[in-house]
Amino acid sequence: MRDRVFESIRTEIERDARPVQPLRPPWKRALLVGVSCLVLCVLILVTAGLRTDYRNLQSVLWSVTLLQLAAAYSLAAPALRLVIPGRLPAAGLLAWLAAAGTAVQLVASALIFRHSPSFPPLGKELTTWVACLSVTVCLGILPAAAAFVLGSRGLPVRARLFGLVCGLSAGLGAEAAWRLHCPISDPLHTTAHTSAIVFLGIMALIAGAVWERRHVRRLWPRTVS
Amino acid sequence: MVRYQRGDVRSFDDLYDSLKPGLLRYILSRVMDRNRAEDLLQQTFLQLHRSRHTFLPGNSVPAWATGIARHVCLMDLRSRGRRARHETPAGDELPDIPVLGEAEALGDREAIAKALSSLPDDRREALVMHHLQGLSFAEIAGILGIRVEAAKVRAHRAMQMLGKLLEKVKATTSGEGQKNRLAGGPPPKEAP
Repeated sequence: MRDRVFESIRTEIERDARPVQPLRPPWKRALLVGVSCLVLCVLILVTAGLRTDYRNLQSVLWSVTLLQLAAAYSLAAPALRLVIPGRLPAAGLLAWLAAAGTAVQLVASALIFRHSPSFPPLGKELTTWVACLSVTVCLGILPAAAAFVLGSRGLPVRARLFGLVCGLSAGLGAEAAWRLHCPISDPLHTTAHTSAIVFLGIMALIAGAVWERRHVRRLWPRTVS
Repeated sequence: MVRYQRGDVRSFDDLYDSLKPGLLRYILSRVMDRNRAEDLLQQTFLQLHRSRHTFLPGNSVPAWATGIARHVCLMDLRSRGRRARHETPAGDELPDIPVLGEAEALGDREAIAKALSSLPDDRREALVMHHLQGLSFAEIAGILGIRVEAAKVRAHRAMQMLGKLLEKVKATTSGEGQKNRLAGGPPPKEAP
C-alpha cells in the first residue's frame, strides 16, 4: 500500500497497459503538412493548369511558390510542438515566424505584380475576389486537416494557438498552390488570397478552442456547464 | 520512461515515486489546497498515462510531467470558471503552499508561505519550478512557452519580491513588538 492516489491510478494503468509508439519529432511530423501542400500544387497544375501569364514569370513563380511552401512548413513545425507538454516553443518565436510568413506573402504578391501586372476583367472585380477567397479557403482545408490529425495525437496544451498557427500555415500552402493558376496579380485582388489565409487562421483557432473544450469536458465531465 | 511506453507496468511505480513529490509541490503552489492538489495529482498521473506517447525519448521526464500537471491545473481552473480563478485565501487562513528550502533561512515558515502565496502566479510558478522542483531554466522555458532569459528573469524577480515581502513582514512584526513593549504587553513571538 502506498497512498490513495497511487492505488487508484495503478488499477487504471493495469487496465490499459498496451505499448505505445512515441510521437516522432515535430519537424518530421510537419513534413506531412508540407507534403499535403505539395499535393495541392500538383492537383491545381493537373486540374486547372498553369497561369496564363506564366511566360512573364517562369522562375519567379517557382521561387515564390517554394518560398511560400517553406514558410508554411516553418510555421507547421513549431505549431506541432504546441501539443507536446514541456516542449512548447517561445511565443516570441511564433510571432517572429508569423511576421516572416506575412512578409513572404507580401513580397510574393509584389514580385509577381512587378513581373506580370494583370487585373481582373472590368465589372467582375468582386466576383473574382470572392471566387479566389473561396477556392483558397477550400484548398486550405486539406493541409489544415492534416495538421489537426497530427496535433490530435498530442495534448491540447495550447490548443487555440496551435489552431491559429496551423491555419495560417495551411493558408500559406493553399495560397501558394492557387497562385500557380490564378493569373490576376492586381494588389487589390491579392487581398482576397491574403484574406483567405487570415480566414483559415481564425477558423482553425475556433477549431482549436472546440478541441480544448471537448478535452476539458472529458477530464471533468460533471463540472463543466 | 521508455520501458513504460513499451508497456512495462512495473516501471510506472518507479516513475510515480520519482515524480510525485515534485508534482505535488508544483500543484500545491498553484491551488494552495492539499485536498484539491491530491485530486489534481491523481488527474495528472491519469493524463500522463493516457498521453504517455507524447513523451519524446531523450527529453526531460520531469519537464514533460510538469507540463502535463500545468495543463491539468489550467483546465481545472477553466472548468471551475472565472470566479475560481480570482479566488484568494481568506485573510488569516494560511495557504497550503510549500516553502522553499533556501528561503527558510530568511524567516519563519508561515511568513514565507504567506509571502509566496501573494506573489503573482507567473513569477511564483517559475520560482517553484526552479527552486522546488530543480528544473533548469531551459526546461521551464519549454513548459511555459517562453524564452530561457524570460524564465530566468521571472524566477529572479520572484525571489526579489519574496525578499521584499519578508522584510515588510519582519518590519511589521518588530513594530508591533515595540508597541507591545511600550504598552506593557507581551513580547513578539520568536520565529521557530
